[in-house]
Amino acid sequence: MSRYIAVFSAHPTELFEFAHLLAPKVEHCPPDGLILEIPVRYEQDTLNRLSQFIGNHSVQIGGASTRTAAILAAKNRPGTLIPHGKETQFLSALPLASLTTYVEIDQQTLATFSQWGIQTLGELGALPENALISRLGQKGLLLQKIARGEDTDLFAPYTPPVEFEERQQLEWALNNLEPLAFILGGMLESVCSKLRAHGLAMEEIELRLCLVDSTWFTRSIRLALPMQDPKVILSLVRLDLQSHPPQTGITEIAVKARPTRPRFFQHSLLHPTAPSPEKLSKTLTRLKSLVGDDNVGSPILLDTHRPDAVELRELDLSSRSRRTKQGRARTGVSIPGQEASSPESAGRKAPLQLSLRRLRPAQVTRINPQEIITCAGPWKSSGDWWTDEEQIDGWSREEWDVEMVDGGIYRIYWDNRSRQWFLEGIYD
Amino acid sequence: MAQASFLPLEGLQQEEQHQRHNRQIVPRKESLPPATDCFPTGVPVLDQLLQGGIPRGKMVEIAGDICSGKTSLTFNILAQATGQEELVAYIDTFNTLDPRYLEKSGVDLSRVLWIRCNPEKNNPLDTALKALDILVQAGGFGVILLDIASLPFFKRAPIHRISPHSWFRAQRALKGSHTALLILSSHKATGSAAFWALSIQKEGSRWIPPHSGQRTANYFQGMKCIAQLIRGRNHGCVEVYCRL
Repeated sequence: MSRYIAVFSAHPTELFEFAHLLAPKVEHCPPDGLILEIPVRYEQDTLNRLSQFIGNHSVQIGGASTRTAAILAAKNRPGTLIPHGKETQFLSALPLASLTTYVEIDQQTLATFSQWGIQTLGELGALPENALISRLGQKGLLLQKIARGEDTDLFAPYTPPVEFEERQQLEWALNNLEPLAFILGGMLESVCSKLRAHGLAMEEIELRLCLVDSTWFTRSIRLALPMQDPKVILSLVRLDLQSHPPQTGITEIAVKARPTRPRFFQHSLLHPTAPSPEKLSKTLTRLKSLVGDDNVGSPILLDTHRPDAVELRELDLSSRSRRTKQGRARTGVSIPGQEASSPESAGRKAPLQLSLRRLRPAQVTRINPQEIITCAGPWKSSGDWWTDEEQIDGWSREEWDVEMVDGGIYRIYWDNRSRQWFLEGIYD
Repeated sequence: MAQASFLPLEGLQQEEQHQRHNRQIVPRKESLPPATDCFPTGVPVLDQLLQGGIPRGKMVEIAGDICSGKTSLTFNILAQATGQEELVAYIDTFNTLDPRYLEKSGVDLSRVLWIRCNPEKNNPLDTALKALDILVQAGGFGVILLDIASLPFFKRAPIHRISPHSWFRAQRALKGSHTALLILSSHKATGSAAFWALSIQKEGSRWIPPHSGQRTANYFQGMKCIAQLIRGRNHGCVEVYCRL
């Protein structure tokens, strides 16, 4: 059985530290209080040690078998230890105003109790519950429970924030990736086991390496999805360090993980198998180290008429498909009740969407009218002339489709700003 | 005791010559995957020619000169793949992909991994082959498209210098997987490593004629292409229409 000791002090900081030494579970009651949960047999010993620590300081202490009674005792009868089971009896003698030391009560409710002739907590506790609820609602029941010394809130012990960090100093400087990876493997194992113990996963890892010249080399690697597997994380860190190596030897290593809730994937029986998230993340990191971070991702079309307005974003398998109805219809994906490639449609010559192979950047070209067989145009477009950076962002052009004598069909445009012809791409 | 029958020497030589003359060259039998393990191309007649479409676990090359319609056909295959919720990897060697046309073709862009090889900085062909190696080893992709079709302005793209070992290594890595590898090239590059090889040529273009009094055409409508199967069990060609 547990006992609760409530302590209120004008100088709570030192008291908090000492209380954590006395009891494993301590609840903080801001701004100046704390509650200790201790076994019955250690109650007297704990009170003695608290008294020694407090000395002559003005501190309010109260003990009881419920959290509420302990707080009321400490606030209204400091130095009182209520025996087990005598909470209601002890509190019944306290005046009704003593409730305000535990909970805020509006003046209207106090006036109502005064009209009813209720002066003490005992009288409030003795009122019939149903009648009290019908007149004051749940608020009345809450006040009655407090007056009886019953707990209305759960005991919430303080848990210090956990740091998922590992740090290691080296006796001599490391210059190669292999020994560094060996040490990092152990550190990541430790960090990941801590994360698993707290039911968390790693979202981002910050790697700090102290170099020989006492400067810090920092790399922050954002994982494609929350992970707990140290081997996968180590391979991602290795790939990142291969593409961004530190300039000199390393004398100290610090690894810090940013925790998040793990994400669980439910693979579908009906959809085709996709690469596992860990494997995909590893593949993306390898590709990024090969071609650069900005050159790998899923294309996103920007909402503008500007030509070639495209962005690359992280490939996210968990996101829902962005397919439009138009796209689904065009692909001829079989819909229940309809056959995509029916015998009737087999002989039909359905045209494909003609595509353009784009030149990046568009090349300045000279147009020889003698080489043009057919042309169509112009299609004029312009935009962003209203922005402040008109010279940079604005565009104004006239597009033409031309078929040349070499057999190619090209998209060219006349840039109204630079007064030049550009070759934009080839229809293919 | 049975008496052995002897032929005169001249007769034996004639018999050998006759057998040699009549011997048919039988191609090596490679198991064709069932039609359910294929991605349709979106062109029914071409699917019939390819016996179902682009097979999984195999390498298929689509080769054609500039403005031949090969890119349009390939985008249509990708649209079919993403329509089946497959993940598609696009290795863009010369950074020529326009995602707007990819979407117009019906491709779900959220299921496309675009790898730009940045031709301005490094050797794009080497980078593309390394990226292909990574993707093939990783697995899990429905279609991997290696686009090495150079434009006439990239004079330094020696596709013919790609070692055949690269193709055979990719072919071996694909065996047994559910990934289809598409090679999009200007001219046939994979040799005998490809399971199917299609050659595409432009047959003609269609322009809407001008109204009276106008000098230029009204607009460019599309073109007609001929896709010919140049490597595989079947031989034949089909017409493909591409419309802007």
